[in-house]
Amino acid sequence: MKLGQSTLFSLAVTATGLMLGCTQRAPYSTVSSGGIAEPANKAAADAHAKAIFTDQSRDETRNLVGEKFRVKDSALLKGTLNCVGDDVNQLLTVPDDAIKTANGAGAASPGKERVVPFGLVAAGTSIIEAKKAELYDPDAEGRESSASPEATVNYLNAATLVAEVVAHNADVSTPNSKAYCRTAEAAKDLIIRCVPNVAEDSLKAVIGGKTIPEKMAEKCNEGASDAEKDLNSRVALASFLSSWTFLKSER
Amino acid sequence: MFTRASHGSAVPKALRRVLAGIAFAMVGCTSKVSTEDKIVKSKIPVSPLVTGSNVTKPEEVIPFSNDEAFDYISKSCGGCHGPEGLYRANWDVPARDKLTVGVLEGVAGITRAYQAIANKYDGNEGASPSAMPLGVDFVSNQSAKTDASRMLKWFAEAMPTVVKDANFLYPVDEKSGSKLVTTSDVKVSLNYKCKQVRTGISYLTKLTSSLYRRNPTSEEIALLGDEARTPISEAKRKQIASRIKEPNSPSQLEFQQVGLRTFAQKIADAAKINPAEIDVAAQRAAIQADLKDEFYQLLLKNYTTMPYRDILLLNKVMVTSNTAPLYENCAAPQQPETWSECNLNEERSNYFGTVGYLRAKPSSFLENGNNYGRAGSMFVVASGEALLPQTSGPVGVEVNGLPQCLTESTKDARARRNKIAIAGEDEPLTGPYGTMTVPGFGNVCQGCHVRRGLAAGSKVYRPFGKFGERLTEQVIDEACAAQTPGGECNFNDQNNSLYKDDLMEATAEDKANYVNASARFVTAAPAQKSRGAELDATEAVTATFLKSLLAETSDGARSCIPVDSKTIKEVNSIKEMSEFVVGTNGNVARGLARLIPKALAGTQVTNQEVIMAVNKASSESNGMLEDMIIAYLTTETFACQEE
Repeated sequence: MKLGQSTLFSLAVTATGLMLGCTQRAPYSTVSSGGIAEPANKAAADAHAKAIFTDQSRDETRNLVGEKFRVKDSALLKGTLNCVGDDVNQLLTVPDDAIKTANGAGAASPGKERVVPFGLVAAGTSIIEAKKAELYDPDAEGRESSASPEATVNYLNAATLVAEVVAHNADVSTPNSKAYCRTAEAAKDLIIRCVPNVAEDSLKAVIGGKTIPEKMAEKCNEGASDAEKDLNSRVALASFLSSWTFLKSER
Repeated sequence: MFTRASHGSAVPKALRRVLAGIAFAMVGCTSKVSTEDKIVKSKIPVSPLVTGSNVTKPEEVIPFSNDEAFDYISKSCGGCHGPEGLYRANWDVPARDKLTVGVLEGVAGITRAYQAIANKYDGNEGASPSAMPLGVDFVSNQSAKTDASRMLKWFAEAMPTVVKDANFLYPVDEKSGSKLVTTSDVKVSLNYKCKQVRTGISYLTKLTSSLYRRNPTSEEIALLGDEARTPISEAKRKQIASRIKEPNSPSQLEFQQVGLRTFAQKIADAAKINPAEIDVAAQRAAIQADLKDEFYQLLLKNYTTMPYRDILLLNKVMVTSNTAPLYENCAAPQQPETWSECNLNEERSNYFGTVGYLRAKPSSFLENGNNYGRAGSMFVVASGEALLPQTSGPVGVEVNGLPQCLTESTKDARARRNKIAIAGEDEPLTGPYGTMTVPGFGNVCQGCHVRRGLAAGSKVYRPFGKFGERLTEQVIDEACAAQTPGGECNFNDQNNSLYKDDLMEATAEDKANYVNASARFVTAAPAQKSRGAELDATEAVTATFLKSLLAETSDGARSCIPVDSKTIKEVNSIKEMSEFVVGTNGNVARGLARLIPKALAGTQVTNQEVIMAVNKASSESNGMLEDMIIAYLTTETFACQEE
């Protein structure tokens, strides 16, 4: 199958998303081997979002910001997240241990990070409901209008937060879990489940000696302990869920 | 005929411009239309070249590409009407880097802009709208004329409904120019062709995203067979899309729960239905939620057995225990959180008189909006045409008189006082908002307020308040809170009427009504200037006067909508007006070709392929909604891979 421009671009962003897990994933900076995440940094998140949309070639950038570029709105985003777990409401509910403490000093649960900024939402809240407006709420559209959801920095920040919460809540350690990604086969299944129309060639393409699923599996499997592997699995999962490959709307 | 502007006045020119601007605060509109911009360029023979008495072979006009068209608009129009231009009010051309077909469809005045270029191309310099671009002589500059023809051709192919609407809004007999306008040689392209059809899996993902808001299941993917990774065929598209019609199948049930609801809420403008102060505070949220689903429940009950058109005109409403009390003589369902069917009374007639419809456009005749929005929304629902306010009518033109049936149906000729009006020169009132005054102030206003029935609609909807309830004289009396009958209103803190502020604004000192409105605005009424040195008589707008307007709704004087220059449709109720506006299954199908893509695929655009497919499905199924939705989902347009 011939790789089209959009396919190539999707591939590139997927790779970018996966690589972010160990380098510059927003809203975190580097994740240490001990699994302690540095505090969230909105500027870094913005820079991350902007980088996605400006580091591409001119044509690709036009694809992103042009009239055809649309992301999933909140309803579609919610409707597709069952690709990483059957109980979507559970995946989206912000637990106590995902919320940063006021002074940033609170320890994270093993294999997890505190990903939600302090004071943003209360524990027990659905992160999609809380960020609905930024994620485009189709129920708010009037008869005479139709939103064409664009990937604004606000959208990407909100979508990244959703991805972080979902990854935080996902079962990444059980081999038959939908969110398990520590083998290439499992990672490939996860990607296909979440993006059914992903081009097969893009999953077979070798970048840096490895295919995308292999790269994802490698990242998910990184670490000396189970907790470290869990953490890195969540990092990779969040990166994938906040990438263009996943967020692009087919609607 | 009478003139609205004058010459040689003592009023400074700058001040006149300000006044003119105010006068046109509410006038006119144009229809908002849309079309797809993925069209393969074509060469279609157009106007035969006439040389003396010989007709040579047809000239081929190659339409502009999108980029060429946007460049043309930016260069030829943007200088005056663009972001930095002096005449943005006439039509607001977005910056070049913002121009897309979708953006242009949302620009008020795009239909006039098209017509202005058409007038120029036709050599009709005296027409309205003024022939554009200005300062270019098409006789000596054939290149400029060629560009104009290519631009018109682009409109015909990329925005065909703009062309159609222009033909509707600017028929020959409505031109104010000295010459008859000849039709431009543009035709609508019917040869849409997608460049790259989606693979089966890509199509299926778009379909499930649109209908169910989710990814496809493995069972659905299996249906694709060997077309999963190849461009999907029309037969396979139809097979998959038609699953929503399989009785009691999971696909049908899920469509009913998600896709149909999305569609219904879009049509019903459910997002605009807000909590209403008139409801008991504890129940407001529940009532609001139920009203948002009111139209959906009506569709759900009937869409598999009744043509969509008939559902719109059905004299039924679905109610819950929360919403039943909002209707007259409507029994609530026995079980909470269930729905039951209720007959609408004659006054409410059908969907267009339901509380849900009315609350989506909160308005009343006490406000300047004067229910025009409710009347205009009929066109959106019925034919997908949004009538956009056109507040920049030309100054100084003669205004056509209004149909007698309209002027005799009401005495609503309200407007704001022109406190510096000069007798024999100016009108005593400006800033029109009354049923007669809006169309009476400008020809461009008449496009919607006469021909599209907004004036008639303002009377048809007059019995209803901003909460969708029946307005009575008692409501006005309570809002006035006068100590004596006919006395001064008391708008003090003790006055808790929900209409206090509306009545206070409606009866403010700067508001007045023409006393002789019927004679003044009717066809061939003499102009103010020729009526001599006295300003036309006006009267204050009082609570008593407003009650008399309310009483008109039952006085039997029928309003009307001109169908064409010879035919007039009398309308005096929501039922009569909605039946006229909704029209045939074909008209509804034309609207659905715009509304289905908007509601389900979230796109503002449609094209001739979709229009034809939906129309065909309507004809074959006698107007059944599900068949028209399937037809849209089967189109190459829906299956086309975006670039």
